[in-house]
Amino acid sequence: MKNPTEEVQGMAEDRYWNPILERLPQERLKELQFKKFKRTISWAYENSPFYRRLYREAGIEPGDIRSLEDIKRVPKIEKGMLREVQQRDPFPYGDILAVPIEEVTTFRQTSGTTGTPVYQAETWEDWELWSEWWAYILYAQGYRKTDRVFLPFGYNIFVAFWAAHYAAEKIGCEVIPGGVLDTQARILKMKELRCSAFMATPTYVLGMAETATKMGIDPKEIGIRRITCAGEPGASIPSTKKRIEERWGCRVFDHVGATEIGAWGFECEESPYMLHINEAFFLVEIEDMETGEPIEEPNRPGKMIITTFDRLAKPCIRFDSKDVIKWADHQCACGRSFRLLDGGVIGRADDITKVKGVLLAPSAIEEVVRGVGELSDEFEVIVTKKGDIDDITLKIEIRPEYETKRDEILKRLQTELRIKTNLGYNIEVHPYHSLPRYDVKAKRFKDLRKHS
Amino acid sequence: MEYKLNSLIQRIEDMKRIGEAIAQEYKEIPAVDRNIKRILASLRILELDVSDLKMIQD
Ligand SMILES: [Zn+2]
Repeated sequence: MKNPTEEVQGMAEDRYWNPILERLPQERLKELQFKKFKRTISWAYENSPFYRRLYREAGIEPGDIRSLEDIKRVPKIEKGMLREVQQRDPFPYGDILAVPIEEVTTFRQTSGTTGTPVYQAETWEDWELWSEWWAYILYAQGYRKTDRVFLPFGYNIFVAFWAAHYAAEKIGCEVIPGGVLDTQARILKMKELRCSAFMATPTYVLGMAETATKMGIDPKEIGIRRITCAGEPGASIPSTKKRIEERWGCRVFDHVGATEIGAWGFECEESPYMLHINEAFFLVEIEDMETGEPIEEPNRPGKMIITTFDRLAKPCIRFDSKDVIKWADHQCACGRSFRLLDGGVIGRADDITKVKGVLLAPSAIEEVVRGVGELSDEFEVIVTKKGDIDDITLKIEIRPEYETKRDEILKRLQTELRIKTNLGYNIEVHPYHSLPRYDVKAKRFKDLRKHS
Repeated sequence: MEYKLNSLIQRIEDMKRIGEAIAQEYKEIPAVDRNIKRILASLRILELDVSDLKMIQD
């Protein structure tokens, strides 16, 4: 066999954005990751006072990393530390910044739903990386220069689909920024221009279909061929994905990313409900949530620890993202050697909670609710404590045309919930269209026990 | 169709060298300086990857 790094078989199928990296055998990919890790940690150690302090306190320096195994000795970082460091100079990023502040060309921030936002500095080189990561995603999902791509998102301080915009341009798509338009105007514009693709959170994709239907437009008529989702796990949850695909009459793909990390994973055309990790640019480790021991085997969920390679302004090294993921037990048929995660991001370590002694992931409830076709797209889960006993209420809406089958629907829902989550629920039926609708990310799971 | 990786690496390195020389020589002219630096920034994505591969091969 020829040395695969010397001569790369061509792109007869036009399948890969970078056929060299996407088909690199795992062992070579591992070597590449090790080399990039060393370069990344050296950059951080030399240029970021925050990282230098962290590593000195732990008694470790870049020279100590001699194999992939040694990476486990490198201290992890987490969101709280990123917030804390912002108290220091230079304003507003703090001394995690690894370039002179005049090299920063882009500001982004996290939403700050769980506290002070994290400010993100990017150099021009970093921003080039963002659009490159996204080019892998979009290319794997079939975006080509023949596509007319609509972006129905508020272009603002959040990173959201900014990089998707630049990547679509880079691939050669025609990009339509659907910024401040409202949902109705966005639907009309997509229809008017015969757009072939768009990108949004699963919540908003479903909301747009609902709005279109109310306007008397069948979403399928618009002619969308593919949708890329982000921001929530929905597109990796089978019943939610199915709903979106049925409403829009097209393929829907998932992708994952975060402001502090980058766009690290994507679904391809061959493996629905799975995510490829872009292993040429990111190193993903999975850790047992209780013991912290590394997980290499498939089908065992754990917490993600992730490193982004070569990010200049604000390096991201062994970041404890709190995402719960698990390795798939097979390689993808698409030919990419990048490993697969089964079920995408299953949940957040913060969200997975014990209810009545049983581990509950909100995504499991979503899977059941969205699997019952007679229910609307919205629901809400509230966990409370009555005395010493946990109590879960599930609020749902029944579509008006199925009102008469109410008892049968509720019975089926209760049974499915018991099978999938091992728990019993108080089910409240609310009038159609009365539960809150969300434009971006939804807040459907409320655990009120923590505040009592 | 096959790609000769070593040749690709070589040519990207040549481009980078030329770009850096231009940026250095004309750094007084913002339009040249910034535009060439942007080209170098996009090139960096390729340059890092292919030269990484070369080092793996060695
Ligand atoms: Zn694949």
